[in-house]
Amino acid sequence: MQNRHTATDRFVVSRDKEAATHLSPGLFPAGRQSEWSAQNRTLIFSIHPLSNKTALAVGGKKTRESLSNDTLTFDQDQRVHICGISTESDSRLAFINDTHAVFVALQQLMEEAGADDSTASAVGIKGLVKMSVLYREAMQRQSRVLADIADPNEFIKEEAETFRAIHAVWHLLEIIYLTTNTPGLSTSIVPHFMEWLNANFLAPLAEDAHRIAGGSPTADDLARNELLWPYLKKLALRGHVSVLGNMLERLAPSQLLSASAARWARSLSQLCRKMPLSSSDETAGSFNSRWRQWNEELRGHATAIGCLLGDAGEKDGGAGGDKDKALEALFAISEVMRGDLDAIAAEGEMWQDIMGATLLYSEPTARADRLPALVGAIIEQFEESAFTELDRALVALLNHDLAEFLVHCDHIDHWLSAHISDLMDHISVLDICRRVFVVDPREHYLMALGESYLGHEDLWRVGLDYLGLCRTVAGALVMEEYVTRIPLDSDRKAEQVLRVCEVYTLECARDRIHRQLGRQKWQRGRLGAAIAHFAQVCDHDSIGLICDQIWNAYISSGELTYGPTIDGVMASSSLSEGSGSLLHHEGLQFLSKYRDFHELYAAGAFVEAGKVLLSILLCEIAPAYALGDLLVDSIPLLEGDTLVFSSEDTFELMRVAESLAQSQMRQSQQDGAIDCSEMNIFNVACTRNLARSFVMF
Amino acid sequence: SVSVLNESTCAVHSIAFAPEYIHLALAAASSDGRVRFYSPTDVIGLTNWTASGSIEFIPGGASDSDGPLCLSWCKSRFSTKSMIVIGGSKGNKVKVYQRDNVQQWDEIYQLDSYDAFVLDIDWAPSMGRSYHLIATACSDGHIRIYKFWPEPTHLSAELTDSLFIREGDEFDNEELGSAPHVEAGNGGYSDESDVDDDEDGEDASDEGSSDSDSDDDSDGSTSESGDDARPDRSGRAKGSGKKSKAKGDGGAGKAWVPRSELVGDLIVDPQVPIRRVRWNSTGTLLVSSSDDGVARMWKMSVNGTWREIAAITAEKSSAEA
Repeated sequence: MQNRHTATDRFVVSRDKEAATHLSPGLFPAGRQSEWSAQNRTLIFSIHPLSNKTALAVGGKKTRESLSNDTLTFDQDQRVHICGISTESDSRLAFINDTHAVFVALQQLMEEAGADDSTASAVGIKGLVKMSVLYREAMQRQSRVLADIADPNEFIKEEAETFRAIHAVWHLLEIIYLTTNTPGLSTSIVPHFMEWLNANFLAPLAEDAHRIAGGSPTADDLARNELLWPYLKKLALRGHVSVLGNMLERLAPSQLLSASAARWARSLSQLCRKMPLSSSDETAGSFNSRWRQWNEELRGHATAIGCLLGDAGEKDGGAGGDKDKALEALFAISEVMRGDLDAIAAEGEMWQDIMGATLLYSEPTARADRLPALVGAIIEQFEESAFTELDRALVALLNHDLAEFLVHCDHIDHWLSAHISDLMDHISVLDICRRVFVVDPREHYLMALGESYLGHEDLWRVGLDYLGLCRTVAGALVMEEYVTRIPLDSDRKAEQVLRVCEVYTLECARDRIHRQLGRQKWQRGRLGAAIAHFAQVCDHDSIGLICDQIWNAYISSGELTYGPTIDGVMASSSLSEGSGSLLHHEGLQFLSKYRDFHELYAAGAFVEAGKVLLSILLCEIAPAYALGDLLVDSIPLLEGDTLVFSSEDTFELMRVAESLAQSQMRQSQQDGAIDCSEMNIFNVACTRNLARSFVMF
Repeated sequence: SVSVLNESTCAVHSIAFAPEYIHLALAAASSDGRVRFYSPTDVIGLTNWTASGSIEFIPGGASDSDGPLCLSWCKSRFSTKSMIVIGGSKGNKVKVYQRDNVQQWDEIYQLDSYDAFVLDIDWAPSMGRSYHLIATACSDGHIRIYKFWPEPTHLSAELTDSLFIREGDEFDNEELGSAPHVEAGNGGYSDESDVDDDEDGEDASDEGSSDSDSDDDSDGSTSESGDDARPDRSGRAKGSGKKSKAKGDGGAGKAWVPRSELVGDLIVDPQVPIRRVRWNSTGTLLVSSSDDGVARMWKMSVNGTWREIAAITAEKSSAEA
């Protein structure tokens, strides 16, 4: 992987070879681009604020005035097409959601592990292994789901292939960087590599086994079966030594084999059973000596069979029948098993097979640092141009070339590059790549993945999490930018978006969203909800305006219907923290108290009603335009049979009336104007009440 | 219509509203080589707009035959002064202007000049990057992408002595690619943390510096010595005796000048005029359209190279009747 370039990067798109998607229906006939362009036409576009969708239309190049009047226009000129790179298919939804949960858990785990240094590494590796396994289980589930689809189309087949690749790559990374580093487990990579090989590249063996060994064939049936020897060789390559031993044992009694072939088959079968297996109790030295012993026996076998073949070749002069074939195959198998690299290379079809057999039979205790040397020698024998992206990714990983590895992972799938770079970061192997790339790969891939989910109606929340859990400045800013663009289709969705803002402390976004929701609900007449939103951002002015609107509605209709609204607002404000200040908002207090006044009056509790009315006036919470109405409301109480207002109270009322009259004279405003006749009635009522109150008190 | 602005006597090629962080303003580029700015006197009614400054992009004027003029505002909310990039007309130059006070715009940098008409230009939202991205579309079939570092903010002047600038570094040295990270203030939270908080600005400065780390476009050697100069948790920088090339604060060394780098030259072959380029809302996707009726989408790879990820053509497919 070369270091970051310093020269300008030039990239040429060859229009003739470009694989473009065609608009349907198209805007001009095939091959007539230059004609279309010469008719003052070009393509214009506008990008969707949230997803990568683009609106396309025909645009002109010259001003209309400079065109002649008889310029033709076509129907296509008036169409707008909306296009976009396809978002995730529904078949992946469950997988995306499952792995998102694992991702979030992994971030939390690493944060907690990081906080406590003493247990960091111990918790870290085991935790990472656990998480890695959870990811793989999700991949396996998805693979099963895809396999279960009856009559799969091309897309499903590609998806199945992709998930196999994703699993293979992930599993190998887990083995190299996690499993072999787990305290308590052997550090040899060989058994894990064989497990990986057999788990991810299984197909041929499974089919063959059924075709050959299924149905309990006799020894002769086995010997007659042409597929037998290739199958047995594959068993050897893949390390299925006990199965190989059993098969040879079953084959040996066959009459179709020569005596020597039968003898060597039995002998080899016994050797298979004696193959040393490493255990974590054993020291490396002890295992190595057992291995050498076994290897020597195999070498003896191979040499003996080789001699026999040589003799037979001389005698028959090349007219070998089945007997020779069996012996040749036995020779090949023993050569493979004693670790002869040429034999392994000759028998292996895939480079992975050769790699596995080389590790298993020639370096059974190899550690991960031996991999680059081995894989280099093996890959030379293959045509690299025929490699798939999966092959390239695996080879790069075995070479410990992690930057190259990541690039190929991205070619396989964007989900893979994002999550694997995250895992690599937690394993602390990503720093090497950071020096190679221009940008932080983890941030780059996670952000790309997150952005791709934002336009999806079910995945936007997942997308926002990926942006937020980047834990970088850019990720947070991008997230804040996008969170205000999520369409707030329903109350529930709005709540979810606000929850995201809370979790990631996006204060600006939260502010904007509350204000937007407040305005929306205000326009729709949901005044209580609007007030609640404005209270969250302490927008007292807007609340005041809404209160004015409520009051004006009451005045024009004459019916006080806002009671439940106010109750709802006050109730919700006492529950939520942010809007505690609601209780102190003058406009709301005024409306609330005025409603109480109405209720008391309607219930006939005139004295209490009067007290409430007076307190409204004394606390000065009533807006100026409402004062006149309040004074008019006091008239029936002043005139009523019961004495409601004492002399002081009456003086207060008169004082309010006086200041109202003065301010009206000063400003010659009509707000809260109380017309002369009402003023006169009020004054008379006050005087009468005063007279009464002096007498009674 | 609410209002008609007719100060310009020539064709108006490009208009753009200022970003919402700046007060409401409209820039209009016309083929006489001038860019005029308008602001409304009444922000609610919007019926009355007045001219509030102009830029004479082509001294001596120009005409329609000299080619169109295009412009794009800088959308970053962290820049201390408003900036606008203008390109096209006579000379086919692309220049960045900065506003000093309400009506005065000064040219601060010439990004490039071409042999072909500049048909469109777009300034990407900065989104935490320590540099700006500007894309130009030309009639020669090239889309060019520039990184641009304008003047640093006051905060970065504080950090000048500390981060990643080593003694003996040439100012134009690629290694000094870390120098713009000092302007993490341009894009990051470090701008939001007060200068006064420098002593305690843990989270913000850390995020700023970790962004610098990850965005480091120098090779390994810088990171190694960068380890020594990395600020400690308190946000204050450890000097360890590093001399600084000061940022115009009158100290030792040269004053900062804006600089740019052409990071991507995307060529459509055979040549066809590229009419329009636009960044998406986070500057991670670039879309272009050209006279061949093809809209192309471009994304930056992890290597910093820009590659086409999709193309949509308006041409009917051969399968279509």
